[in-house]
This record gives sequence, C-alpha cells and structure tokens, in this order.
Amino acid sequence: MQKLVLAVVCALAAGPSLANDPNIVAIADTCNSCHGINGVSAGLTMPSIAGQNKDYLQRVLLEQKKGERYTTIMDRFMKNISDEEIAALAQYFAAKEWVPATVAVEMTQANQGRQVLRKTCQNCHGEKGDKNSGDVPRLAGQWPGYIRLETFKYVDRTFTAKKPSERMAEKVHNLTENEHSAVAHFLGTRK
Amino acid sequence: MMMNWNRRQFIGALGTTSLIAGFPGLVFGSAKARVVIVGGGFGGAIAARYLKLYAPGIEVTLLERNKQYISCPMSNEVLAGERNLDSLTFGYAAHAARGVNVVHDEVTAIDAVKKTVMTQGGKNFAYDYLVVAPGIDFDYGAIEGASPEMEKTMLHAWKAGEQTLQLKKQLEAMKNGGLVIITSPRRPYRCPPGPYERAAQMASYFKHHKPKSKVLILDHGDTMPKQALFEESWKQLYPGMIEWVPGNSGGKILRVDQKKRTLVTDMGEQTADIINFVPPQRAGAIAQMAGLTDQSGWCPIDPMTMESTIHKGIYVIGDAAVTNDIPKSAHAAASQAKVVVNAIVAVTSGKPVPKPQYTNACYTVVGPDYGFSIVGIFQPEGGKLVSVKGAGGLSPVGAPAYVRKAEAEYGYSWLKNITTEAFL
Repeated sequence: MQKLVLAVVCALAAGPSLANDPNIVAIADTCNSCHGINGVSAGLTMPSIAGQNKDYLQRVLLEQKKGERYTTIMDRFMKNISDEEIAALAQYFAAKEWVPATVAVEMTQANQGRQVLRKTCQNCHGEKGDKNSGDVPRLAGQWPGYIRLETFKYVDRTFTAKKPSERMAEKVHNLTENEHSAVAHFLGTRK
Repeated sequence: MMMNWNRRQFIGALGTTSLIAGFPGLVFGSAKARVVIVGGGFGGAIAARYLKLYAPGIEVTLLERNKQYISCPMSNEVLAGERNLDSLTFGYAAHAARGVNVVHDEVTAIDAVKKTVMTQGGKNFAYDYLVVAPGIDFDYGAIEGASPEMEKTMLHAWKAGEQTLQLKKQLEAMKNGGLVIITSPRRPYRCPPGPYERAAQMASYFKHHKPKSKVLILDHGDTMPKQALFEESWKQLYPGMIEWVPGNSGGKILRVDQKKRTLVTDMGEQTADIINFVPPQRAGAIAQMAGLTDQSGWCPIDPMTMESTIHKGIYVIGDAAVTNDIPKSAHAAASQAKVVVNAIVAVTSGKPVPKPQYTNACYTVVGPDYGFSIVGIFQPEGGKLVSVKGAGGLSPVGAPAYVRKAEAEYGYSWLKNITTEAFL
C-alpha cells in the first residue's frame, strides 16, 4: 500500500504529461512561424527555444503574461495561454533537441568575446556559456542577434522598462558596444 | 476563455462521419490518404510541410503554377532600396526533397463530386482531401472604368514580383517634387497595413533622394489598421510627406479614366506622377471557377476546421477564405494551414482533433530601425472567427527607440523564420 501511495505521489509530483497532448502541440506549432519549426530558430534575432530549460522558459513566459517582464510581443500572445498550458509548453520545448545557430566565426571578434565571457558572464552562465538550468538560459549556440538585443536592454538609455535581471544589470552595464557584440558573436559560434 | 473540446464535439464539427464515408478507398487509421494542395503560397506551402512532418505516409501533391514564390511581406522595402527581390524569392526544392509531389501546372477545374483536380497540362489528380490556397485575384469590375489593362500605366505591385521592380523604377525616374498616389481598396484585402507601410517606405526613399516629393493615399476605408502608430511614425520620420484621405473625406475611388490617367473621387479628378492603383480584391480565380466563393467574392468556411461550407472535403485557407476578424496575412495563413493539417492527420489516424489555434503576428517596418506590430488570437464563436478579448493587440504608441528598433529586427527575424517554415 505504501509503495502504491508513493508511486501515485511521484506521478503527481512529476505532473501530468501535458506536453504530448495534441492541444498543447497545436499551440506550440503556432510558435513556429516566429521561433522556427520545433522552436529551432533560423535566425537572426529570434531566439531558439528548443532545448532551453523548462524552469527558465516557464518563468519567462509567466512573467511576460503578467506584464512583469518586457517583451516586444510575447505578452500579447501569453495573455491567451493558461498557466497550466504555459507549464506544458515549457516542458514541450525543453524536451526538444538544442540545435546551435549557424554563425561563421570571425576570429578577432570571437577572441574578444571569449575574454568578455570569462570576465563577465561565466560565473552564472558557465565557462562555455552552456549552463542551462534553473533561471539560467543556455547561451552557447544561441543567435548572436538575440543575445545582443537582450544585453542592450541594460545599456540603451531609451530602454526604460524594468530590466529582466538585476544580476545582469550589474554585470553588463560597463561593457562597451564592441564587447556586447563580441560576446554575442562568440556565444553564437559555440555548439 | 479556454474551452474543452471532447472528441464527439470535434467529430460533430468536422462532419467526420460523412468525410470518411466519402472515401471508400480510405482505410481508417491507415494514413494513406491523398491530399492535394492548390497554391504554393505561405498557406499551401506550410500545409504541405506539416503534413509531411506529422503524417509522412500521407501522399501530398502541391500544385503551383510558378516555380518560384516571392514573399509579399517586407516587399515594400524593395521600393526604398533597403532590400532586393532575391531576398524574398523562394523555390520548392525542399518540399520535393521531403517527398511532396510538387507539380508546376495551372489548375483549370476542380470536380468536388468526383474529387479530382484538373490542370492545364492535361493531368488529373484524385484526392481524399483538397486544400485550396489560391490567394487573391483582382476585382477590377468593382470600379467603373477600371480593367486589367490599366496595369500598364497604373501598377498595383500587390503581388510581389515584376511590378514591384517596375514601381521602384518609376520612383527612381520621378522628379524631385513629384507626387505618388496609392489607393487603399475596399475591405477586406490582402495585408491590411500594406498601403500605409508602402507610403512610408516610398517616403523613406524620397527623404534621401527627392525630399520635395509626396505620397497621397486615397482610401476606400474610413480608418487604417495600426492608425495611431502609422500617424506617429509618419510625423516622426517623414513630416509633411504623406497625406491620407479616408473614404468619408473623399478618398473613395468612384471611377477611373484610363485615357486621361485620372482617378475620380468626391474631391474631383486626381492624378499624379505615379499612380499605384491597388485594386479591389476577391478570392483567387480558381476558387471562383470551382464555385467555392459566395456573393462577397471570398470563400465561406467552417471556422472550426476551415472546411468549405459550399463543398465538403475541400478546405480553403489563407487570403481566399472568409475569416472575419482574422486579417489576410502570411502568419494567419500559416496558422490556418496547421488547423487543417491537424484535422486531416487526426481524422486519418483515428485520433481526436485538437482545438483549432488561430493566431496572427504582423510586423510593419516603416523605415530603418523603426517597426511596430499587431498580434491577434482568434477562436470560433457563433459561426465566425472572432478576436479573443484581453489578448493580442498593438505595439504601444510613444515607444522609445530601443523598442522600435527591436520590433524592426524581430520583424526581419519573423520573415526569416516563416519563409524557412514555408519554403526551406
């Protein structure tokens, strides 16, 4: 009996597997026109969401839905999606394979970017920028255009909305424009 | 509001019983169905892609008369010299590689009873399910004095391609201080923000090359989509260069005089150095021929499935369909394609049909680093496709430079991804 109870509790803790529900897949497919088939973006500033960790995706989508996190258009989509559906969508895309961006390496920029990563980003994002858990999104292999748009939020004086992360604000506000582009490029060339 | 759709509701809505009964050769669950798609624009191409993605066993034939597709979205940038047409041109090799039977031929007739499509090349294609995505056709007959011949002197450039390049040449040849008229036609038409974005892109070119020139928009309608955003952007980027005359202030075209090259409105005769006459529109010619249209000139559909309410077993998607609150856009066509694919895949594999998801995202780029957007989410309600309240909406007015630039960049990335989804 105890074993049975334990099994039921475990099943509940794992949550119902909504991610394969055809209704969730149908919603997920509407994301593809912007984010790419199965969430693998073809570029240029659109982030790949396939293989990004579930907790991060879920948190960001919920914050966008509640208007707590600035986004150009995602808030307008998320207002139609229930919290349960958001959890399922996060699970769905997290389970997809991460497919790195295709970016031709430019050596000078990549080397400069590597330095910036070591100096500024690796404590949270990992030595290779591939840490992907909790509230840390995977950056290695993400599209540079997207990373640049995100980090510019912390330095562009016209961006007056609340910054998504205080830690990021501390870290990147002193970077030069070149350093922003360089680290985005370097991360984009990683696999 | 989210609704729970159980299988019975869906089957009822789909008329599945009659569908399956109509296919003696179709074994339920075998997924050996034959799907023919007429038209390889965003809607048709994306339907083919997702059929192969979710039901590789289904035999898919894509009938498209042209070997290349040129994207209308972002084609206004060609007029400003911001991009070339090559960046918007796509082929069908990726579809062929995925096992889609791509046939470049013109459809001449659809027999909804025998479930056969006939082509100019003399071929017949039998189908179990037919997806019709023919886009738009021009309805010159709706305006006195107008006819297709006027395209020689008054371009539409409303199907991206040769006319887009010709219009660009006209802009280049025009004198500084010249005037361009753009007409915005009877609603509904393809790409609601298109005429106003075009005015902005022309003004962008003039600003740098012929700053005394102007654009006059003669509008059939009394309002424009994204109105506050357009008006704000014109004022900021192109002050005094764009004038808009809504229908209730004399913007409606009552008559065209091709000999004199004038447009007659309540304000009298109008002429300009360049007249970009965007004609009234209706569903693509094949939809008319196949009897899929109603008096409106568009194809009425069941909002649950996009199935024609005139001919069962035929699904009409994209610009040609009557979609009520859903605008005629590439993104909307993409979401409709997925609704139809989900319905076909579910029915042929004996699974429940998911709740239909209709969305639209439409970015407008009015100049370098300056974009804005509208988002729509729609659901079937009372036999129509209705905007979901409390979701979707417009970019904010008065947004800072970062936001405008980000929206322009995301607009380009949307183009990159939706064209990849459709053609690559």
